[in-house]
Amino acid sequence: MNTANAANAANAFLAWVIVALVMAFIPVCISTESEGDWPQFHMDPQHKGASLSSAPNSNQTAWISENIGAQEGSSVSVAEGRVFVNCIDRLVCLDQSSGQVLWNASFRATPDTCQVWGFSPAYDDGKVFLSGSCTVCLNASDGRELWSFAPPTGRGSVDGGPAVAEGRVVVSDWDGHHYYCLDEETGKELWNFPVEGNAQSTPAVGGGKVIFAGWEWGLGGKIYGVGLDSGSEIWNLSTKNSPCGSVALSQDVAYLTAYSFEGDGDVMAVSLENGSLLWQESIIRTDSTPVLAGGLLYVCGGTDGFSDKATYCFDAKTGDLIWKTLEDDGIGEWRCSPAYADGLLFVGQTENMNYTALHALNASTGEMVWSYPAGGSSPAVAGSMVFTIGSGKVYAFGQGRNAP
Amino acid sequence: MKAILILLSFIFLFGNVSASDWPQFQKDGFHSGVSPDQIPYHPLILWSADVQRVDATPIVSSGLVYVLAGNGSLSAFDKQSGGLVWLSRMDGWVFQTSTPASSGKAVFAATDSGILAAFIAQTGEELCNRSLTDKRFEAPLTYLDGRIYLGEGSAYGTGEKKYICLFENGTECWNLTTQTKGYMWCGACTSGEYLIFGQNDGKLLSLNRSRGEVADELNLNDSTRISFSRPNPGRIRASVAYAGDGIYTTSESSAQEGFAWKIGFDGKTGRFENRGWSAPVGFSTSTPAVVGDRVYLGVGEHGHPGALACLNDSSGEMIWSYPVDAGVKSSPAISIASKMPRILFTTSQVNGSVYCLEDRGAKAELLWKLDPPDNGYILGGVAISNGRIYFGTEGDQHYGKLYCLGDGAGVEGWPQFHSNAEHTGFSDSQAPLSNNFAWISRNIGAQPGSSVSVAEGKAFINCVNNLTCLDQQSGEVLWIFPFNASGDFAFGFTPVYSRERVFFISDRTYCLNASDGEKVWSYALPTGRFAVDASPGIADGRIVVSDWDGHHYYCLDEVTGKELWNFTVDGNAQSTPAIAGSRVVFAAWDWGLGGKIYCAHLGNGSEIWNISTENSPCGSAAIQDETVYMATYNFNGDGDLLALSLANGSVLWKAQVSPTDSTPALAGGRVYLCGGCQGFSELLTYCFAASSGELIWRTPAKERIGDWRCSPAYADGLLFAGRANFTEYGGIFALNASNGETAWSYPEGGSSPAVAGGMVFTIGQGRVYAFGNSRQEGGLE
Repeated sequence: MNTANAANAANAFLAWVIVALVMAFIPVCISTESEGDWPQFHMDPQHKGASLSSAPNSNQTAWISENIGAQEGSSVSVAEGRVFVNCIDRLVCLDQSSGQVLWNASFRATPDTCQVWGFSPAYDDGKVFLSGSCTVCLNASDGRELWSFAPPTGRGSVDGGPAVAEGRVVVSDWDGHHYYCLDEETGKELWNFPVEGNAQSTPAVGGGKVIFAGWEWGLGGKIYGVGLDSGSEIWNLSTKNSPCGSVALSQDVAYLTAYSFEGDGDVMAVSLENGSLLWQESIIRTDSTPVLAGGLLYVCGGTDGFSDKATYCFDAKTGDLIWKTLEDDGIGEWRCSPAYADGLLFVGQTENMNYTALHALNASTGEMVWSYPAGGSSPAVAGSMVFTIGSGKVYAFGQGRNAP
Repeated sequence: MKAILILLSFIFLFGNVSASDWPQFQKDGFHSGVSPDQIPYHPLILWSADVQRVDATPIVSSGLVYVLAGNGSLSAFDKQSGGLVWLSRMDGWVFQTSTPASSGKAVFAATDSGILAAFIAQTGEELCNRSLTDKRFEAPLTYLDGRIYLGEGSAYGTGEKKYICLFENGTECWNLTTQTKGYMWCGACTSGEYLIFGQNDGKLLSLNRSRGEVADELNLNDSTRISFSRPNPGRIRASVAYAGDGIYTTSESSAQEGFAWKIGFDGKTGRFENRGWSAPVGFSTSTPAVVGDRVYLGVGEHGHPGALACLNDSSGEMIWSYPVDAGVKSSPAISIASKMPRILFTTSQVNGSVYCLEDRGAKAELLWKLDPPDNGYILGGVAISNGRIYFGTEGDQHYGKLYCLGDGAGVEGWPQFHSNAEHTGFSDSQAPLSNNFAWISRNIGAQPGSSVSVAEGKAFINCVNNLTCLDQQSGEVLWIFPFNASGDFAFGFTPVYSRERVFFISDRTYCLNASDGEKVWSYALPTGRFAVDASPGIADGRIVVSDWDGHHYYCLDEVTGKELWNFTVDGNAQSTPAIAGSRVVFAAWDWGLGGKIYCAHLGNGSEIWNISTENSPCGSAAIQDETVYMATYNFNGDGDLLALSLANGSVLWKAQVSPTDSTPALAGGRVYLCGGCQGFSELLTYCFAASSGELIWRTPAKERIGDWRCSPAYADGLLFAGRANFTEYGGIFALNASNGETAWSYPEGGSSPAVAGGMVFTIGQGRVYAFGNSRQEGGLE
């Protein structure tokens, strides 16, 4: 009922065939993370947004936090049995099983009106990283500050969060026009990379490269492939629309969206090796980071008041559309990066730019399996639980790791 | 007769509004953006009001200010008092950029939810409310001749979108449907029978206003129509203004590139003509304003530096550009009440500012910049009405403010040393006609030689090692703030009031809450030296202080106390800095070496000029009409009163006076000064002609009126001066300012007087004397 493309049986059947074929040829991704964790934005340094965890098959909540002022549009990170939440000017740590507040640490938010969905915290090796006016490294157990890095431009990050990989933290300073690679232990700057336009991506790291973008009003933007060790440019690709979001990486392809302020935007597949464009499809305007799972790409888009909203599934290799939700259902949003686990795609819904629902869709067909009338901000799946933010609260679904 | 006809047609077109009103976007149906009214020279927040959030410019009509909040509520405030008169809700979402319009009888507003509603102007009663579009309303409403004009917004990309004409009751008169990206920020102006507006696609349309028939359309890239077309003009996201024989607008293709346009327009045929220019000014969404042969507009996108640009109306060439640190997305509002146009604009950033420039011909001079106390974003522009200005901020998703700024000089108070930042020692207050006192404080240890500052109904007193706040009316002690005093000074500092705070310098510069004396911040002078006999000067969010034998002046941020710049001088830094526009004047002196008077740029501390003086400039300057007046002390004979050019420091005239550190009072083209050091020289008070330095009168020496430490005060035809009694004071004298004759006197007090709210304040024998108004002894004696 909510799949425009599978509205007739023939198409649905065809979709199934494609899924089956694609899945047969794509090796299962091997994650180094525990299936109990969702340690950073969109799960891993590659931002694939897919978890090996099982996922709840009903909308039963494990807990709902108080209104802790959680940043609408951001995602939580989960590790060590803790949930780390961006609460605009403080980071709050909740107990994963109970939702109880364990600690909170204040920080200086970037005072820019363009800050729309903020950063998602990143966890690694007992430390949590956030990026506001400065990049701050906190002790995950008690929130104590270990180091902080102030971008030399004096500008703070806007909607771009930290990525952590291989002992490095890569961050951005928006209209300071830079990405910075920092030493994870000390916060010392290892290199920086100036971009044209606003540095707004949460960088993706994979295959020895870091991928991020810069965009500017009216000028579209550029995607950059940079050596993780050297900080030197390997390739760049100009885009007509604005790459305001973040990249998801497979073994050898970078996937991302580009926003259009005047109509439909794009979802693109770019060679990780040389930056050449492999395919590009028009979708409703979005900053969403695509999900990569089982050879399929999931993405959503749409801005209340300016466009329709929908969630899509493409063949990651060819760019063929597998399914798409009906515009009338209004599932998905430009700030929402969906999450995949256990055959389900989790995606949010908004009204007037406020998150009002979380949906679990059948990842193969786009049909709704369950939904909940609150939350919806970029979901995270960890330890058989799903977490999402809405109206300042954190919603946790599922039995949890301690369940029988 | 012609003027009357124009006025009549103006009233007919734009409704029942006065020339001082600002009833729609950029003031009128031409979008002139130009007001005949004065604007504040010493901006002071007269009132502010909480409004959910404000992204559009307020409008002013029939005694009320109307502001549309982000959530779609329309509020009407009394423009004098700021009191809420009515509030009406419309269906709105988060981001209202459609500036409302008033006919005088009704107010019309449109929201991003596609609602257009009308309300009775005085009561807020809803006249009509229509849901007209799902594509948002994002453009200023234009009200003309009993009709409202508005286009559909940018939602859903390119498609069939309407420009709509409605009657006052909300019923449709006509609409024009075209394939377009929409009309975000594209408000319409009028010329003759025609309505002219832009499209986000980079196209201009001219329609017959009564029927909606298209008279002409022009793509800005159409080189067959206009010789100054541009291949990539980008989007028009500004309104159109009409002036003279052309229309003006701006376009932008990216954050880096955009154009200002003047296009010839024939008001008889409604056709665009191949006359005009396009100027590559950079990104602009500003609607130009035209005064004489100059075109003013804002430049710059959010997140980028910006500027206010002034172009030649006949060529489009840049005459000057005043750079600011953030994009200027709103449209300039201009006052033509002064000799040169004064331009108000806002900067689009968090913690945005309001700027006031004066066009000085080849360049612009910053008259003031005001950072409102909230950290809000400012997207809308400024409305001017009756000497006041109005603008709004958006603090965050749920909070904003509407501000009314008036002129601080018109407020009853004496907030700084010698009244104001220019130190003119002038008050427009009434002054007491007799020596009846309102109250005399007990001996609170008030510093002889210092002056009182008055604001918010409070008097702030330097009591040597504490700052005491008294109630202005009763003399009752409200609070006391103790501090470390150096002991090494002659007349000490005068406390300075600005925006609910009190400032003074001792070993540190202190900023206190005026209401309770609580410390807000303090700044330790880096040299570790104390200020001596100098007070802070405050203007434009900056406070300038000194450290005497540390040989520095420091400019601090008024809000945070952070040092912005410092300036090293030869000798002792002893002046209370005088500030006029973007210039600050102070001096330094050294025993036996005379000294120097300096003029520095308030913004960055760079030196503009300095002059060396034979005698010692130990006091402070007063500035008026581009002239600096300052006395220099002579330890061996008569000193000098100097008049200098503010522009370059050249000496305009010089007069010999009894040695003094007195700061001259400036009023009515005259310069008043006290001098003399009891036991060494005669105590005298002088009046000179400001333009020539010619002596007009001088008090007889036997009257012993004057003192080297005393800076006289002028109000209401009277000059108030003190009589020294060695280190103390022995009387205050109210002199007839025109001839120097004593109008009244009181045998106590005499330290540099201050006049505020019809009262005169002076210090003597540790007490504060308050003259005028009701007589009472609030001082418990």
